[in-house]
Amino acid sequence: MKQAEIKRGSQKAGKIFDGIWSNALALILALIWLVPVIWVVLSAFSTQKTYNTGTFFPTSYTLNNFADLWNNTKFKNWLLNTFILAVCNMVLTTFVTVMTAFCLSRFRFKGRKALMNISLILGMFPGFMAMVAVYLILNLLGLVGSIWALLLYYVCGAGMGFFVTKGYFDTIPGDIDEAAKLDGANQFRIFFQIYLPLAKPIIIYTALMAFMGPWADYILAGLVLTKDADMTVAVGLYNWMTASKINTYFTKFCAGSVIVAIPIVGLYLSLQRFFVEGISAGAVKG
Amino acid sequence: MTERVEAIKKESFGNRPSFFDRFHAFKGLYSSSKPYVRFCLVVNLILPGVGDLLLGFIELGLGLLLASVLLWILAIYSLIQMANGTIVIESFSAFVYFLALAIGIGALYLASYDAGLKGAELRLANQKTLKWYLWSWIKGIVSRIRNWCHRYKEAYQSASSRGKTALLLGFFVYGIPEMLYKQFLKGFVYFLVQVFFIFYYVLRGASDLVALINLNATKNGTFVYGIVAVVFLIAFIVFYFKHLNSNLANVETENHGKTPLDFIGECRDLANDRFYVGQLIVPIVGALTFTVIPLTFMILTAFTNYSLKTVDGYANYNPNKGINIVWTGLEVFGRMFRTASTLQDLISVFAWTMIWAALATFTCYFGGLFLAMLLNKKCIKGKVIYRSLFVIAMALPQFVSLLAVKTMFMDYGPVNSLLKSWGWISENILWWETGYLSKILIICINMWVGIPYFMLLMSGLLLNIPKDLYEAADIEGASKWQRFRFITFPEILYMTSPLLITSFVSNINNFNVIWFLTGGGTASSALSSAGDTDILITWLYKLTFQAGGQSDYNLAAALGIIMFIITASVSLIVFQRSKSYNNEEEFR
Repeated sequence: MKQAEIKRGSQKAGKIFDGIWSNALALILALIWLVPVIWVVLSAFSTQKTYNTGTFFPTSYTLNNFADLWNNTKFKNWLLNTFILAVCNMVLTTFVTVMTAFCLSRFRFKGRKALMNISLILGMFPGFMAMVAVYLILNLLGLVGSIWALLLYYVCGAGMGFFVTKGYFDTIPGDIDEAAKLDGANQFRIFFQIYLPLAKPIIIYTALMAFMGPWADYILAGLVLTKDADMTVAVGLYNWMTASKINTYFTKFCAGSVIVAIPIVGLYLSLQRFFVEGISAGAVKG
Repeated sequence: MTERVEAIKKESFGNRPSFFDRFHAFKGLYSSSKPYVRFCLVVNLILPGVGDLLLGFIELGLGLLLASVLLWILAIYSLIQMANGTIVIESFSAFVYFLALAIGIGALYLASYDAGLKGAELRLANQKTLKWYLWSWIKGIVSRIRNWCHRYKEAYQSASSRGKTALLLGFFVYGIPEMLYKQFLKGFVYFLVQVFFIFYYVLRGASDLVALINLNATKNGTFVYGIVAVVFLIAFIVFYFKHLNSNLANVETENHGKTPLDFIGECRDLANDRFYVGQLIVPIVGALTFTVIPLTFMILTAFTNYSLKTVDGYANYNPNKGINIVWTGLEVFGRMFRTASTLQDLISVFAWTMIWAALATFTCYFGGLFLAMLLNKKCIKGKVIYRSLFVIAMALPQFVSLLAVKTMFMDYGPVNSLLKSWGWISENILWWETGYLSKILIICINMWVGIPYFMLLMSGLLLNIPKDLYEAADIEGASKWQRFRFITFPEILYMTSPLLITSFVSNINNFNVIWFLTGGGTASSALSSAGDTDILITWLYKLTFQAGGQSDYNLAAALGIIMFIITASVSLIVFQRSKSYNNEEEFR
């Protein structure tokens, strides 16, 4: 009896100890993860223009960087360009991806397997080695230099990213649409009234990814957009970090990054549930 | 507990035959086969692929043969060059390189051996699949054409005057015959295709095509437009046959006394049974223009002299000197293996790519698992807040987070200032200039970016593990480590084994991390065109875009083909075994 009590007591002590070190570890890790973020945010308010301050965090703070960024650079244009691009891309890419996935999952037609296998194989080539040719084709269409070239490229490639969404559609039982068809619904109605609500998480995930794409894409955007006013934030801000510009533009880069990051991080945090559902649908169902 | 592990192993890896099973199967099949099959089986042991080819697995055999020949050439050439002392490589890089080659060659041998056994088995059972593949394919096509002509003639003989006109007209004009049957939508689309094609070919397509065919003779900057012309030609031919078929179907329906679909029926069909037609147009056309054509161009580039770099002994493309793009066959691959500096670059870059992909995947996977387990503990308060804090690092656009961290570690950056103020160092550490240090730093920073992703994924999966397993473990008095070793880890591994391999492949192609952090490495390295931290994909980018007017397009293309062989062979195996590919019909 007494032994059992001792055992329970030592278990309890072990639990408390466990709780303390787990919490401490989580706190330390969270701090490590946050330090660079905090550093960028504080640098955005720094009075010096360079990263080379001699201390870890800047010592004096001001709002001038933001004013400077807004009034004296083309950041306004970049932000607007990227936002337009991201919204258009979100709508069109999501539509194309989801529709492709829906068709490949719900219909059986000649050449379907072939289409899927071909797009799988095409996806295995390192994408941007073909950028030279993409550039030439965009040139042929007269689009080089504008964000619409990027939009066209993203939307045209959207059909190839159907795998995750299709996997999700595959798990929805087929009896539902049979019933709807008997009631005389056409495919548009079946899609919008039955599948869309059922596949909401994966559609939100697709849309989130499509919205994020233009904010981060540097490779093609850097190739296509050459005029200062036409750039997206990724290209413009990256150019400020080159060795010749970093000492004068670093704090402006940080200020710009903060402005870009706030809405994006907000979106991620508020849609975290769908994000998790999307990545696990892609990873676990393979 | 161990039974459970065995069961999971079996589920995730299938019933793979052991080495001795293979040996017995080989012996059995060999003794009961005809001499031809015996010959194939033995040939397969010497050169993978050839035996499979002879046994009727055309695609598989060709692929295996190509890949194994490529790997063997790489291995032998590198060995010769290293023995000659023309190239000098760090022993560790060389070790990883040859290890990867050996694994690759071994896997190819095994795959080819298994395929050969399967072929011999099918042969023994006299199954139809082993008819001489190509021959039966040709015979099938010939008989299909003959049937089709027969149908056409019959339909013509019994058709009404409208049907006769439609059938005759169909050979020359797209669309109009369909319109005769009131199929205005289809007719209009087909007609438009034909008009567009004719205009395009008159205006520029024909000359582009000629320029592609006579590549050696034309002063052409690039041959992309020739490929566009070829794709249009193929599309035109496909549409021709689709149009003839739909025309024939209309007439046949009429001959049978039924009315073919009219305009309204067409629309209804498009909204229901053929819904996919309208929806798949955009993706297919898009993929053709921005994926198929550029990739074809890239693949063909590897067989030309399209390179602005001046290399001794090669007449590379140079518009100023009046040198055109010409076909050069396999010369680029030869250049890659023969030129000491290029081979040296290739080996070092390849070795680092493999180490990087393996380490990046491994660290993020286990880091994510660890973090998820930590945050899933009951005693942690504010799980949601912690999770959100970690997500911030992942949610930041990579150019922001990676460039910021890169700046932190610059020579006069805050990390060095901090270490100095603490008195730990007196001289600034050159984080990005020394190969090893920057490599370690890249892996660590990649953990910073990658672990939250895996953490999010795994914390959901951890909740999916059946609780009764843990209860059973408690009753048996299992320690924490045993619980992890025998329950958590196997379950997670089973659920994420496809992810592990896809993330390995995506790390091979992880451009952003390397590019934003080091840009591939310093110019002061011992390598000629690649930096020390370059992986294959950033090297490729440098060769194409950053060469300062010396863009080595054909070498980059050849490199791309090699990368494709690596990634494709890994991911095809994974994909073919994945659940979603095989269980597609589960819920239908």
